[in-house]
Amino acid sequence: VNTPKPHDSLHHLLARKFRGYDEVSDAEINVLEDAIKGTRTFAAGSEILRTDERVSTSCLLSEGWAARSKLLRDGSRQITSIHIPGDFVDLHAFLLHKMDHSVVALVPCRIALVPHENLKRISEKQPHLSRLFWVNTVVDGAIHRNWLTALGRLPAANRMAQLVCEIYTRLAAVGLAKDLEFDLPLTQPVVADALGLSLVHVSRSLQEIRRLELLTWRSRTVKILDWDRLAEFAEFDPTYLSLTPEPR
Amino acid sequence: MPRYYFHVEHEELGEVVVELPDDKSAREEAIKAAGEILSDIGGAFPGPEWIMHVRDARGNFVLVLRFSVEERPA
Repeated sequence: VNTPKPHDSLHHLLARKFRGYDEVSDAEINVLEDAIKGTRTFAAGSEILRTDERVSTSCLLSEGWAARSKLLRDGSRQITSIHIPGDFVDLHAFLLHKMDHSVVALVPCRIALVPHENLKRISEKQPHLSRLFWVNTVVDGAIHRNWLTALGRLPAANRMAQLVCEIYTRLAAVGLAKDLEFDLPLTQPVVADALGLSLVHVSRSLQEIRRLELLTWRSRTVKILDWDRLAEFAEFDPTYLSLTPEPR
Repeated sequence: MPRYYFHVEHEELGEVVVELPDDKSAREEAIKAAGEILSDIGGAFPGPEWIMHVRDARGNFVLVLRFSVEERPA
Protein backbone atom coordinates (compact mmCIF):
# COMPACT_ATOMS: atom_id res chain seq x y z
CA VAL A 1 0.00 0.00 0.00
CA ASN A 2 1.27 3.40 -0.94
CA THR A 3 0.69 5.44 2.21
CA PRO A 4 1.89 9.01 1.86
CA LYS A 5 4.49 9.90 4.43
CA PRO A 6 3.63 12.81 6.72
CA HIS A 7 6.27 14.95 5.02
CA ASP A 8 5.24 13.93 1.50
CA SER A 9 4.50 17.46 0.30
CA LEU A 10 7.66 18.67 2.04
CA HIS A 11 9.65 16.05 0.12
CA HIS A 12 8.38 17.51 -3.16
CA LEU A 13 9.00 21.03 -1.95
CA LEU A 14 12.62 20.24 -0.99
CA ALA A 15 13.14 18.44 -4.29
CA ARG A 16 11.79 21.42 -6.27
CA LYS A 17 13.81 23.86 -4.20
CA PHE A 18 17.21 22.16 -4.38
CA ARG A 19 16.78 20.90 -7.96
CA GLY A 20 16.45 24.55 -8.90
CA TYR A 21 20.17 24.86 -8.05
CA ASP A 22 21.60 21.57 -9.34
CA GLU A 23 20.85 17.92 -10.05
CA VAL A 24 19.98 16.33 -6.73
CA SER A 25 19.45 12.59 -6.22
CA ASP A 26 16.44 11.12 -4.43
CA ALA A 27 18.88 9.75 -1.83
CA GLU A 28 20.06 13.31 -1.13
CA ILE A 29 16.48 14.56 -0.79
CA ASN A 30 15.88 11.72 1.67
CA VAL A 31 18.90 12.81 3.71
CA LEU A 32 17.40 16.31 3.89
CA GLU A 33 14.04 14.95 4.88
CA ASP A 34 15.52 12.65 7.52
CA ALA A 35 17.28 15.64 9.07
CA ILE A 36 13.87 17.08 10.01
CA LYS A 37 12.83 16.34 13.57
CA GLY A 38 9.30 17.49 14.15
CA THR A 39 7.20 20.45 13.13
CA ARG A 40 5.73 23.49 14.88
CA THR A 41 2.90 25.77 13.91
CA PHE A 42 2.77 29.52 14.43
CA ALA A 43 -0.22 31.86 14.38
CA ALA A 44 -0.27 34.81 11.98
CA GLY A 45 1.63 37.73 13.49
CA SER A 46 3.57 35.63 15.99
CA GLU A 47 7.35 35.52 16.24
CA ILE A 48 8.96 32.31 14.98
CA LEU A 49 12.37 33.49 16.17
CA ARG A 50 13.30 36.38 18.43
CA THR A 51 16.23 38.76 18.09
CA ASP A 52 19.09 37.75 20.43
CA GLU A 53 17.70 34.23 20.76
CA ARG A 54 20.34 31.47 20.73
CA VAL A 55 19.25 28.72 18.39
CA SER A 56 20.24 25.08 18.02
CA THR A 57 17.62 24.21 15.42
CA SER A 58 17.08 25.62 11.96
CA CYS A 59 13.60 26.42 10.69
CA LEU A 60 12.45 25.25 7.29
CA LEU A 61 9.20 26.92 6.30
CA SER A 62 6.89 24.20 5.02
CA GLU A 63 3.60 26.14 4.93
CA GLY A 64 2.80 29.84 5.09
CA TRP A 65 4.68 33.09 4.62
CA ALA A 66 7.25 34.57 6.98
CA ALA A 67 9.52 37.61 7.08
CA ARG A 68 12.91 38.40 8.54
CA SER A 69 12.65 41.70 10.31
CA LYS A 70 14.61 44.14 12.44
CA LEU A 71 13.04 46.47 14.97
CA LEU A 72 14.15 50.01 15.72
CA ARG A 73 13.95 51.87 19.01
CA ASP A 74 10.96 53.97 17.95
CA GLY A 75 8.96 50.80 17.28
CA SER A 76 9.26 50.90 13.51
CA ARG A 77 10.54 47.87 11.70
CA GLN A 78 12.27 46.98 8.46
CA ILE A 79 11.42 43.68 6.82
CA THR A 80 14.64 42.47 5.21
CA SER A 81 13.28 39.48 3.31
CA ILE A 82 10.06 37.60 2.69
CA HIS A 83 9.95 33.82 2.86
CA ILE A 84 7.79 31.26 1.13
CA PRO A 85 7.45 27.50 1.62
CA GLY A 86 10.70 25.65 0.99
CA ASP A 87 12.83 28.47 2.46
CA PHE A 88 15.13 28.03 5.42
CA VAL A 89 14.40 31.20 7.36
CA ASP A 90 17.57 30.94 9.48
CA LEU A 91 20.09 28.61 7.87
CA HIS A 92 22.78 31.22 8.62
CA ALA A 93 22.09 30.73 12.34
CA PHE A 94 23.57 27.23 12.04
CA LEU A 95 26.93 29.04 12.04
CA LEU A 96 26.00 32.31 13.75
CA HIS A 97 24.07 30.71 16.68
CA LYS A 98 22.56 33.96 17.94
CA MET A 99 19.77 35.66 15.98
CA ASP A 100 20.54 39.23 14.89
CA HIS A 101 16.98 39.69 13.63
CA SER A 102 13.58 38.21 14.25
CA VAL A 103 11.43 36.04 12.02
CA VAL A 104 7.69 36.67 12.03
CA ALA A 105 4.82 34.60 10.67
CA LEU A 106 2.87 36.77 8.19
CA VAL A 107 0.09 34.15 7.98
CA PRO A 108 -0.34 30.87 9.88
CA CYS A 109 2.92 28.96 9.37
CA ARG A 110 4.18 25.44 9.74
CA ILE A 111 7.88 25.03 10.41
CA ALA A 112 9.92 21.84 9.96
CA LEU A 113 12.63 21.75 12.61
CA VAL A 114 16.15 20.74 11.60
CA PRO A 115 18.47 20.31 14.62
CA HIS A 116 21.89 21.83 14.07
CA GLU A 117 23.53 18.52 15.01
CA ASN A 118 21.86 17.02 11.91
CA LEU A 119 23.11 19.88 9.75
CA LYS A 120 26.56 19.31 11.22
CA ARG A 121 26.39 15.63 10.30
CA ILE A 122 25.35 16.55 6.74
CA SER A 123 28.26 19.00 6.54
CA GLU A 124 30.63 16.18 7.50
CA LYS A 125 29.21 13.39 5.35
CA GLN A 126 27.52 15.07 2.37
CA PRO A 127 29.79 17.56 0.60
CA HIS A 128 27.39 18.14 -2.29
CA LEU A 129 24.40 18.83 -0.03
CA SER A 130 26.60 21.08 2.08
CA ARG A 131 27.45 23.11 -1.01
CA LEU A 132 23.75 23.36 -1.82
CA PHE A 133 23.12 24.74 1.69
CA TRP A 134 25.92 27.16 0.95
CA VAL A 135 24.20 28.14 -2.31
CA ASN A 136 21.02 28.67 -0.31
CA THR A 137 22.66 31.12 2.09
CA VAL A 138 24.61 32.98 -0.60
CA VAL A 139 21.40 33.37 -2.61
CA ASP A 140 19.86 34.85 0.57
CA GLY A 141 22.77 37.30 0.52
CA ALA A 142 22.16 38.07 -3.17
CA ILE A 143 18.48 38.74 -2.39
CA HIS A 144 19.51 41.13 0.40
CA ARG A 145 21.92 42.96 -2.00
CA ASN A 146 19.12 43.32 -4.49
CA TRP A 147 16.73 44.67 -1.84
CA LEU A 148 19.40 47.06 -0.61
CA THR A 149 19.91 48.43 -4.11
CA ALA A 150 16.17 48.79 -4.67
CA LEU A 151 15.65 50.42 -1.26
CA GLY A 152 18.50 52.84 -1.76
CA ARG A 153 17.97 53.82 -5.36
CA LEU A 154 14.74 52.72 -7.03
CA PRO A 155 11.60 54.86 -6.97
CA ALA A 156 8.83 53.33 -4.85
CA ALA A 157 6.59 52.02 -7.64
CA ASN A 158 9.51 50.30 -9.39
CA ARG A 159 10.64 48.90 -6.05
CA MET A 160 7.18 47.48 -5.45
CA ALA A 161 7.13 45.97 -8.96
CA GLN A 162 10.50 44.38 -8.25
CA LEU A 163 9.16 42.76 -5.08
CA VAL A 164 6.26 41.30 -7.06
CA CYS A 165 8.64 39.99 -9.77
CA GLU A 166 10.92 38.41 -7.18
CA ILE A 167 8.13 36.73 -5.23
CA TYR A 168 6.42 35.40 -8.35
CA THR A 169 9.72 34.01 -9.68
CA ARG A 170 10.52 32.31 -6.38
CA LEU A 171 7.00 30.89 -6.02
CA ALA A 172 7.02 29.58 -9.60
CA ALA A 173 10.43 27.93 -8.99
CA VAL A 174 8.98 25.73 -6.25
CA GLY A 175 5.73 25.09 -8.11
CA LEU A 176 3.57 27.38 -5.97
CA ALA A 177 2.55 29.79 -8.72
CA LYS A 178 1.98 29.65 -12.43
CA ASP A 179 0.31 31.51 -15.28
CA LEU A 180 1.28 34.88 -13.77
CA GLU A 181 -1.34 34.66 -11.03
CA PHE A 182 -0.71 34.05 -7.34
CA ASP A 183 -1.87 34.47 -3.80
CA LEU A 184 0.03 37.32 -2.12
CA PRO A 185 -0.99 37.51 1.54
CA LEU A 186 0.88 40.74 2.30
CA THR A 187 -1.03 43.59 3.92
CA GLN A 188 -0.13 47.18 2.99
CA PRO A 189 1.64 47.75 6.35
CA VAL A 190 3.80 44.68 5.63
CA VAL A 191 4.58 45.95 2.13
CA ALA A 192 5.42 49.36 3.66
CA ASP A 193 7.85 47.73 6.11
CA ALA A 194 9.42 45.65 3.34
CA LEU A 195 9.86 48.61 0.98
CA GLY A 196 10.76 51.14 3.67
CA LEU A 197 7.86 53.41 2.71
CA SER A 198 4.95 55.26 4.28
CA LEU A 199 1.48 53.72 3.89
CA VAL A 200 0.46 56.67 1.74
CA HIS A 201 3.28 56.11 -0.73
CA VAL A 202 2.68 52.34 -0.80
CA SER A 203 -0.94 52.98 -1.67
CA ARG A 204 0.00 55.55 -4.34
CA SER A 205 2.66 53.29 -5.83
CA LEU A 206 0.17 50.45 -6.12
CA GLN A 207 -2.25 52.85 -7.84
CA GLU A 208 0.47 53.83 -10.27
CA ILE A 209 1.33 50.22 -11.13
CA ARG A 210 -2.36 49.49 -11.68
CA ARG A 211 -2.76 52.60 -13.81
CA LEU A 212 0.12 51.42 -16.00
CA GLU A 213 -1.81 48.13 -16.38
CA LEU A 214 1.15 46.06 -15.22
CA LEU A 215 -0.86 44.05 -12.70
CA THR A 216 -4.04 43.78 -10.70
CA TRP A 217 -3.97 43.16 -6.94
CA ARG A 218 -7.38 42.42 -5.43
CA SER A 219 -7.55 41.34 -1.80
CA ARG A 220 -4.86 38.65 -1.85
CA THR A 221 -4.70 37.80 -5.54
CA VAL A 222 -2.10 39.30 -7.82
CA LYS A 223 -2.43 38.89 -11.55
CA ILE A 224 0.50 40.05 -13.65
CA LEU A 225 -0.92 41.47 -16.87
CA ASP A 226 2.30 41.80 -18.84
CA TRP A 227 5.41 40.09 -17.46
CA ASP A 228 7.88 41.73 -19.84
CA ARG A 229 6.64 45.24 -19.16
CA LEU A 230 6.50 44.61 -15.41
CA ALA A 231 10.05 43.20 -15.34
CA GLU A 232 11.28 46.12 -17.46
CA PHE A 233 9.59 48.65 -15.17
CA ALA A 234 11.00 46.86 -12.09
CA GLU A 235 14.53 46.57 -13.58
CA PHE A 236 14.16 42.92 -12.59
CA ASP A 237 16.87 40.50 -13.69
CA PRO A 238 16.42 37.06 -12.05
CA THR A 239 20.15 36.18 -12.27
CA TYR A 240 20.63 36.90 -8.55
CA LEU A 241 18.16 34.14 -7.66
CA SER A 242 20.46 31.50 -9.28
CA LEU A 243 17.54 29.44 -10.54
CA THR A 244 19.39 27.79 -13.41
CA PRO A 245 20.44 24.27 -12.36
CA GLU A 246 24.16 23.71 -12.83
CA PRO A 247 26.91 21.72 -11.10
CA ARG A 248 27.67 23.32 -7.72
CA MET B 1 -9.14 53.76 13.36
CA PRO B 2 -10.11 57.03 11.64
CA ARG B 3 -9.61 57.32 7.91
CA TYR B 4 -7.57 60.08 6.33
CA TYR B 5 -7.66 61.10 2.68
CA PHE B 6 -4.41 62.19 1.01
CA HIS B 7 -4.56 64.01 -2.30
CA VAL B 8 -1.88 65.63 -4.40
CA GLU B 9 -3.11 68.46 -6.63
CA HIS B 10 -2.79 68.36 -10.42
CA GLU B 11 -1.91 64.74 -10.99
CA GLU B 12 -3.56 61.71 -12.52
CA LEU B 13 -3.48 59.53 -9.40
CA GLY B 14 -6.58 59.75 -7.24
CA GLU B 15 -6.57 60.32 -3.51
CA VAL B 16 -5.43 57.54 -1.20
CA VAL B 17 -7.11 56.52 2.02
CA VAL B 18 -5.12 55.42 5.05
CA GLU B 19 -6.36 54.46 8.50
CA LEU B 20 -4.35 56.18 11.24
CA PRO B 21 -4.86 56.59 15.00
CA ASP B 22 -5.19 60.39 15.11
CA ASP B 23 -4.39 63.77 13.53
CA LYS B 24 -0.87 63.71 14.97
CA SER B 25 -0.09 60.43 13.16
CA ALA B 26 -1.71 61.80 9.99
CA ARG B 27 0.68 64.77 10.18
CA GLU B 28 3.69 62.49 10.61
CA GLU B 29 2.54 60.19 7.81
CA ALA B 30 1.86 63.14 5.47
CA ILE B 31 5.28 64.72 5.97
CA LYS B 32 7.06 61.40 5.50
CA ALA B 33 5.00 60.58 2.39
CA ALA B 34 5.62 64.06 0.93
CA GLY B 35 9.36 63.52 1.29
CA GLU B 36 9.16 60.14 -0.42
CA ILE B 37 6.95 61.40 -3.25
CA LEU B 38 9.17 64.41 -3.95
CA SER B 39 12.27 62.26 -3.75
CA ASP B 40 10.84 59.96 -6.45
CA ILE B 41 9.92 62.92 -8.65
CA GLY B 42 13.46 64.28 -8.29
CA GLY B 43 14.66 66.43 -11.20
CA ALA B 44 11.39 65.79 -13.06
CA PHE B 45 9.59 68.13 -10.62
CA PRO B 46 7.35 70.19 -12.90
CA GLY B 47 7.18 73.12 -10.51
CA PRO B 48 6.58 75.71 -9.42
CA GLU B 49 4.46 74.36 -6.55
CA TRP B 50 3.49 70.94 -5.22
CA ILE B 51 0.52 70.71 -2.87
CA MET B 52 -0.87 67.81 -0.87
CA HIS B 53 -4.12 67.99 1.10
CA VAL B 54 -5.06 65.74 3.97
CA ARG B 55 -8.71 65.53 4.93
CA ASP B 56 -10.47 63.59 7.66
CA ALA B 57 -13.53 61.36 7.19
CA ARG B 58 -15.87 64.36 7.52
CA GLY B 59 -14.09 66.11 4.67
CA ASN B 60 -12.40 68.71 6.87
CA PHE B 61 -8.88 69.72 5.93
CA VAL B 62 -6.41 68.49 8.54
CA LEU B 63 -3.30 69.65 6.72
CA VAL B 64 -2.04 71.31 3.58
CA LEU B 65 1.55 70.60 2.61
CA ARG B 66 3.36 72.82 0.16
CA PHE B 67 6.70 72.58 -1.58
CA SER B 68 7.93 75.10 -4.11
CA VAL B 69 10.95 75.60 -6.29
CA GLU B 70 11.80 79.13 -7.26
CA GLU B 71 14.21 79.63 -10.14
CA ARG B 72 16.38 82.72 -9.73
CA PRO B 73 18.28 84.15 -12.64
CA ALA B 74 22.00 84.36 -11.93
